Amino acid sequence: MMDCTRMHELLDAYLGASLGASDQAAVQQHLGQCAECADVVTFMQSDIQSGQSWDAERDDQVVGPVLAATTGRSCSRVQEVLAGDPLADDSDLLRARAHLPGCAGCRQVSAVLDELPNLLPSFASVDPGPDFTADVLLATIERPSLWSVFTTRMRDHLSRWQRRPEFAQELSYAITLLLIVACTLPGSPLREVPRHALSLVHVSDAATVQENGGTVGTQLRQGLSARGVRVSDGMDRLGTHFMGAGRGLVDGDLRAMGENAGQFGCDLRRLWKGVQSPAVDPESVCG
Amino acid sequence: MNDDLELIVQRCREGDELAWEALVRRFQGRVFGLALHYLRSREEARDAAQEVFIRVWRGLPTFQQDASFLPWLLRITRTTSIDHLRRRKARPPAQDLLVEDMHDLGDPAPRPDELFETQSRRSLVHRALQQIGDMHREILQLQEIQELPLNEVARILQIPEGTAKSRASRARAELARSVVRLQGQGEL
Repeated sequence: MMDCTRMHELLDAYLGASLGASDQAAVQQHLGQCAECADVVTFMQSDIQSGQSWDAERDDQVVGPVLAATTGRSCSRVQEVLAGDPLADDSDLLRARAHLPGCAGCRQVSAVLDELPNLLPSFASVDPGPDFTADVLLATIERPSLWSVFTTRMRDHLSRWQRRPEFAQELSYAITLLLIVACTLPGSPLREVPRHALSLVHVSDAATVQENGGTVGTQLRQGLSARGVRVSDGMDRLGTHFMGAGRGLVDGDLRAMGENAGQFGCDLRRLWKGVQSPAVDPESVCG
Repeated sequence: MNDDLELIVQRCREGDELAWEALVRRFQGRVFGLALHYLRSREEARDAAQEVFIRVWRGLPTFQQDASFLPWLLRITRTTSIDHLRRRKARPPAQDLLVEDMHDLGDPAPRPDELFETQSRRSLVHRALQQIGDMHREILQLQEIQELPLNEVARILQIPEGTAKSRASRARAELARSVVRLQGQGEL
């Protein structure tokens, strides 16, 4: 069955006899079942038939004084109902519509209210200007520096490289290459190390061990000193203990070899601390 | 949230720059429009709109994917605009915006006569909007202009839905009366 709202929408067309057959039948069926709508239609039909229009002039002359003496004009309420007052029901809406033919002001307001839903959404979007997007992107997306891009990529590559099965072999190969380069570069403190080390391998007596071991120590010391690295007097002790250990090894005196090797380790630690941090007293490193 | 927007927002959360640019382009007009409504100054509205997008960018990681994006965006826009107003420490100046500033980015080009008629009606409604109270204009801005659902409007304004509904109807009535009044002045 048609409801009162739909009835109200078709009211003008019904009174003007411009409804289609199916709507006409539906309206008449509704009027047969709804006393309120039937009253409104009867009232409006009688008004039309009497040749009087429910215009503002008549409203002012007849209804206006009555309303002024009682409740006051209802235009404000009518407009709120037409604007979608949630407290208004269908019958309120119907009465508000019935008010319109006699009130030019409310008719105008009603026409504007019908127009607003089409017009207002066009105010939603306003162009902020040509550079707005670029400015926002600049302010939001942080561009990384070249250095951070480089280090990030290097970390990624290294991480992937370490996970490869050939990593250990490649690392050994690289270290070997580095040692070869370090031992062959002109002026390198390690330049003579391979030759003396090979001599040590082939030694047959303590004198040769002492001679070659001493030469390695001396050359290393000279190389370090030439680069401004502070070398303490412990370097002499380093050479002495190294040769003592070698002599013990050749003579088969394990006790002497062990003592000298221990002292040699201490000497190395002293030397290392002295190189890393000149402020550290090398003597305090190893008791 | 429709699928397309959902995908763009998801991509933005993952740091996709292209998706972020698409999102900014899609909503910059609405953010700027709402900021302009509060601030009534293109310069300030532009700064506020830019700040809104910075807040959105920072807030995307914590944005609930199942929530509606547009109400969230407009809520941030409102908060940011009000922050700007507070910083200004005064009510917005009572100056009208030019209707020529309003561009509906999605409108197809109408015929010249239609354009003239539509523009004159828009101009009238726009002037009427400037004449109604701030509270009514705000709810019309959110519900009728930005077309947010009533529950989101109530949430943004932190009022019950029933209050929002009745306020919106009173605002529509006030706007319609304001339009009629301006029409009357124009005919005199």
